[in-house]
This record gives sequence, C-alpha cells and structure tokens, in this order.
Amino acid sequence: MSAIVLKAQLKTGETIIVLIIFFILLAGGMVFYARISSYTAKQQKQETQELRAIAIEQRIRSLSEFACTRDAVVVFDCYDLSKIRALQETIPNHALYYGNIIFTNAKVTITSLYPQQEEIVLYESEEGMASQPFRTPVTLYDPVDDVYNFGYITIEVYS
Amino acid sequence: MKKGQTEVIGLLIIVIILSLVILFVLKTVFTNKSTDTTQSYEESKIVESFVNTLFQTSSGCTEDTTIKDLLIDCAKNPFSDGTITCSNGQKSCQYANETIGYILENSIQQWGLFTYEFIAVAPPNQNIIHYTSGDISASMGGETTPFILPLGLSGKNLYVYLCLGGCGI
Repeated sequence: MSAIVLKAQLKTGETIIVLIIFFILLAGGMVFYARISSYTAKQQKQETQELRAIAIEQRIRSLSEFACTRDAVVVFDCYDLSKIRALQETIPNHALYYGNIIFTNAKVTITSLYPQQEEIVLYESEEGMASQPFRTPVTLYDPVDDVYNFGYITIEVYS
Repeated sequence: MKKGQTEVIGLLIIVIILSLVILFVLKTVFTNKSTDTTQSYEESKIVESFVNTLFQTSSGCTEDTTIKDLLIDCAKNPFSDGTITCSNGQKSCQYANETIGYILENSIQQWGLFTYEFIAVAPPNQNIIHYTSGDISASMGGETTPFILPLGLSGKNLYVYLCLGGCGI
C-alpha cells in the first residue's frame, strides 16, 4: 500500500473519531437539556398547585358562611364548627358553585386538634392526583360547648 | 499560514466553545435561585396563624381560661409555677407546657415541613416554655419577631417566639 493511501486512511479515521465525539457530546447535551426541562416543568406544576391552594385558602378566609362572630363582630382566623357542619350538608345542593368557584378541584379538610378532636372533610373533588397539602392553623369555635379549639385547614389541590 | 497553526487555532476554538458550555451549565445549576414565594408565604402564615390561634384556644385547664391566660399567669409567677390550679391539679405553667407541647407535636412537627423552636420568655429573661424539633439552625432564617403579651399594669411583657428553623436567641 502506498504512503498516500495510508495517510488518507488515517485522515478518514481521524474524521470518524471527531464525528463520534461530536455526536456523543451532542447526545449528552440533549439528555441534559431534556432533564432540566422536565425538572423545570415539574417545579412549575408544583408552584401552580401551591398558588391554587393559597388562592383557595384566601377564598375560604373570606367566606361568610362559617366565620365566627362575637357580639356581631367577625373574629379573625376563626371558624364556627356548627356552621361548618351545616355548610358540609349544603355543599352537595350547590355543587356547581362550590366546586367550580370556591374549592376548584381540591380537597378541603378541617381538623380540630385541641381540646376537642374532630376531622371534617368539607369538600372533595372526585378526580386527579393531590399535590403537597397546604395547611394553615385556625381557631374552631364550638358554640354548643362554648369552646375555642386549636385546629387547621388542609387544602390538597388536584392536578 | 502553516497547517500546524491552523490546527492549533481550531483546537483553541473548540476549547473556548467547551468552556462557554461548561460555564453556562454551572451558572444554570448553581445560581438558579428559585423565587419560592409560596413557601415564604406558607412560613409566615403558619407562624402568625399558629401563635394567634394558640392564644385564643380554650386551655381545658378551667372552664373559662385560654392558653393565653395560662401563659400570662405563668409569666407573672414563674417561680411558684403559676397561681391558677387546673381541674386535674396541675399549675398553669405545667399545664401550658404540656398543652403547647401536644399541639406543636401534632401540628407543625407532624406535618414535617419545617423544624421549629418555640420559646416563651418571661421577665427577668426566663424561658418558661421551650420546645424544639429536629436539627434547628438559626441560619434557616426563621421568623424571630416576638409576639408580645403585656403582663398587666407592671409594664413588663411576655415574649413568645415561634421560629421556623431556629430563633438564634
């Protein structure tokens, strides 16, 4: 084999190796980009669900249906347990309003922790996978026993 | 230009491009600080609502005392364990301690989202209640602004801290 042919083969081999390395780098870059994109999408989805949970919490806060009142004055961050139970029974009759406007696609649970223990599922949407629950402590007033309970509202937003 | 020089320039361009790519990756990975507004909202909301709710809660000690009443009584008389005697025979300090411990364990601690430190400081600088969970560290930037309860006409105050991550005080 002549020297020219040998040199040409060497050059071809070099080009092939360069191309292989280039494609390996390209593939690595694409995999990295895909992973970053998927991670960012997950983060965005979670943040959207958290924002929706906060929005639901704000709406619940402004609901006059179960706010506590003392001498006709609304008590801050306090909910009346008897009104909550009454609302729980009423919600199925107004499912369109509460399901589409107030508790959009979520599960809302009210838990009384101390001194009385009770858990009320106020509303539960039928579909989807729940997000990380958003919880906020509230006072739950029991007018029958005249007791102010320490409790919290749990909001789980469905995707 | 000689062939050798051309190859060196090509190599240099490749090195520059690779360096730029590595710099971009490092910047993306290490300096991508997410503006987690929802978490900061949740943290501040939990601290504020937790303490306000705790103060309003019926203590169960006697029929008409709240946890706030027990804390104030305990802060006024920390050395005698408080003056209020509960229905189970416990004094206000002990009762408040146990009740607050129970509530903390079954709420913030059970949720598992944050480590916390709960402190009630009575004059003269005495911790009448102190609860912590997990590994607390002040560097986590917990809320250190106290909730102040005036102790009657004495002009002294009870300072209640709930810090997510640790108070550092």
